Amino acid sequence: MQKIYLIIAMMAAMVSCTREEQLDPDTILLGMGGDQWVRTELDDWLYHEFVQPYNMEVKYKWDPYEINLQKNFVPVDELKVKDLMNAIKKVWIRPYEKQGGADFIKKLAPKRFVLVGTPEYNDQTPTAGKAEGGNKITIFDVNTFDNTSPTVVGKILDVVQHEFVHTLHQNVLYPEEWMTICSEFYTGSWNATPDNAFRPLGFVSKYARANPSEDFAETVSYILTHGQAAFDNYVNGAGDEGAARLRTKESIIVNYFKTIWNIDFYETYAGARNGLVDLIQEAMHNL
Amino acid sequence: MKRKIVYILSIGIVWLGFLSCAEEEKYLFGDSLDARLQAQLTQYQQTLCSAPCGWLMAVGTKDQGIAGGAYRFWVKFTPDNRVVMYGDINRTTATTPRESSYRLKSMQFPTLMFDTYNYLHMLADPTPVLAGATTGLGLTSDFDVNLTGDGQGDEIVATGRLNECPFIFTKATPEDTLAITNDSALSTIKTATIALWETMKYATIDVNGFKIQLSIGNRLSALTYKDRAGELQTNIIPSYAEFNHDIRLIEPFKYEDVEFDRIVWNGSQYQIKINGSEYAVFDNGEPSYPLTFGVGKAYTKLTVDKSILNTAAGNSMVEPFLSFYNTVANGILATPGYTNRYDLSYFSVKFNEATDATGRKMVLSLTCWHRVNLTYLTTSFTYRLREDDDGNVYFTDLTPIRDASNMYVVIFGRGIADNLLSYFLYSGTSTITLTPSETVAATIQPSGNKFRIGWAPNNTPGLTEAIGGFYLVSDPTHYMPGLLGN
Repeated sequence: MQKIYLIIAMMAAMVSCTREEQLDPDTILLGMGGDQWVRTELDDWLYHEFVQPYNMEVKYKWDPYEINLQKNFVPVDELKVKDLMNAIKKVWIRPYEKQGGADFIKKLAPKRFVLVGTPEYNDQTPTAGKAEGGNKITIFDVNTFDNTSPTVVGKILDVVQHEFVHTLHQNVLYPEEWMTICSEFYTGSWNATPDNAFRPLGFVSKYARANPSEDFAETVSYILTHGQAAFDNYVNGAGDEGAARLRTKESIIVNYFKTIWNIDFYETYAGARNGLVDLIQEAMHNL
Repeated sequence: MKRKIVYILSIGIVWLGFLSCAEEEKYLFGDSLDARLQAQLTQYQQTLCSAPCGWLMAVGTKDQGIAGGAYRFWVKFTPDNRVVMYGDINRTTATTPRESSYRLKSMQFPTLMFDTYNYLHMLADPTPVLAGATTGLGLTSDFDVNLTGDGQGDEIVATGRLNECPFIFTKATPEDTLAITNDSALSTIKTATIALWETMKYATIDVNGFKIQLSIGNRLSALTYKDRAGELQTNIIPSYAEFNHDIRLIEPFKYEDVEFDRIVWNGSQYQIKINGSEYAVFDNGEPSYPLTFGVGKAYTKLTVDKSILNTAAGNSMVEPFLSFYNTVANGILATPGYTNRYDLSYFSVKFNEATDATGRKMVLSLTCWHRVNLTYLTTSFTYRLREDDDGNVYFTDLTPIRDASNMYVVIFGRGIADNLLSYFLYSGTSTITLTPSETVAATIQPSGNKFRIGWAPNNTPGLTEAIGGFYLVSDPTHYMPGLLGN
């Protein structure tokens, strides 16, 4: 009996609380739907070139929450954005589309490009790019972009290629054999490697010594950005052991692109110039 | 009993239930947080865009090196999130307008973001664009700022989000804007204003006996005073010149009840208003605080450089020391075997802590210019000295430790060094011996002469650095002046 009183009382209390909450559709929720600003010609261009076809957001306006909150950066120079993104489209998106099919980039590409004016400095060491979980690529140092300078174009596009390779291997990992080729040379203090010391070990850069994933991204983007002939030259100057390791890496890469992604890394027959590397090289040449 | 408790409990629960139904004010502050933030952002946007002639924006960098301090910009906001800017960074930024974007965003504060690159960002750029900036830090500056206050007045004060740099926005007048766009006033006002300050060597205000020395620079000002405990304090504050030549400190100077952030130019002199009273800025003739020299003190080094102290417009190195100095210099030039080879460039004395119990050490360094090799040669001699209870200095040992690193200067340097000392030890008279002169030391005996260290008269127009002097205690007309440093 007592319990019943209690239950009735509680029900009464609860019923009294069930007030219909009317959600006002006009309620302002600040910041919902992203930041607002008056669109410019540049915003429209990015929308038509990247959002519409690829569902890819190009975030060029400063947003501190996209990057390391403790570091000093500056935003991008608006005048650099179109040139840079044009180059990215020609040198990165188009060749992959030609080789991997029209949907390749749509399926795999990161959904967000974040552009930052300067590098991220760790002490004095600049970082040129970052990829996060296959979803976002941050490109630093955009303000030095100059599409008339092959060196600068190569440097920034190297970042995009490098970060996209991370996206690829985050989807399907490279074969385990990769990790054994240079396993004893990976080091946290890769930055201390003298400039002439990484090549004979079988690396394309100092940074490649950081770990197998960076090595993979560095090696692929080296070949894509510099071309097959330059890579051959590089291998020939790496000494016997270095050359052997680099050749092993090369064959794993070619195999990985073919079996996992059905992409011909190099041309399918002599003079065809239809491999991914050729297409990228040609695009860089025609920028 | 148990039953009673249940009844009471039940009634209590029902009562609580009713309570929860009581109609209450929906929001404590009248509207939802989002709505209030939105209203505040809209208010700021309107304020920023409504200034017909734009705003003058000043920012003080955290870096206080050669490029650090207050920078000034003219900014004009339009409702389409665009902003046009001039800046006083260099000639180009002061004469060529540049457009970029801005937006207002609610972060922890209403925040104004200059969200694409413009002149303002040159200060913060971690890839240094300004000489003196640091890689990774730039000048430690900001370009998104937290706005405080109601955003309705003619002045908005703000703080940088990352580095907490102070920002001041003031509404520009039509005259300001015209001066900036037509006459590049941002670039010229600094020079014109500093010229007013250069007429005073040791600009000082005296607030009822509390003296503050003002050293006004292009972007940084140093305010030096003695605190209650007698310690010398220097506040370095970013500052800039208004178009009427007023000096504005970006953050106020504060010591006890003395507080100000503006030094007003009334057309003929500078004044500071403190607690309702006006105090005129005057030239104190010498620094307004006592000189402290020695190990652990404000200065440890005195550099005697005739080319800086004496110019065509006036001399700070005067007789009788001047003749002695010239004799030394001529003697060096006439050194047998090295005739017309060495010019005396400057010499310095620096007090160091001794590592043993022999008293403090004084290092005397001589720097000469080799006319043939076109190089500077420096050699040094270390003497021991002590201070008496009155702070006067005397030597305890006249056999210096020599720096044998440069044989040529060592050959005659000992003679010069000893003669410099003997100048003080022997009542301002000295025999110059410029041949290799181990014997000179023997002729100099501790005579009991002492010297004191104090400010020296600065008679050199344009020279505003602190000048100290070593005064012979027995005859203060004999003094060796020099630039103070460390």
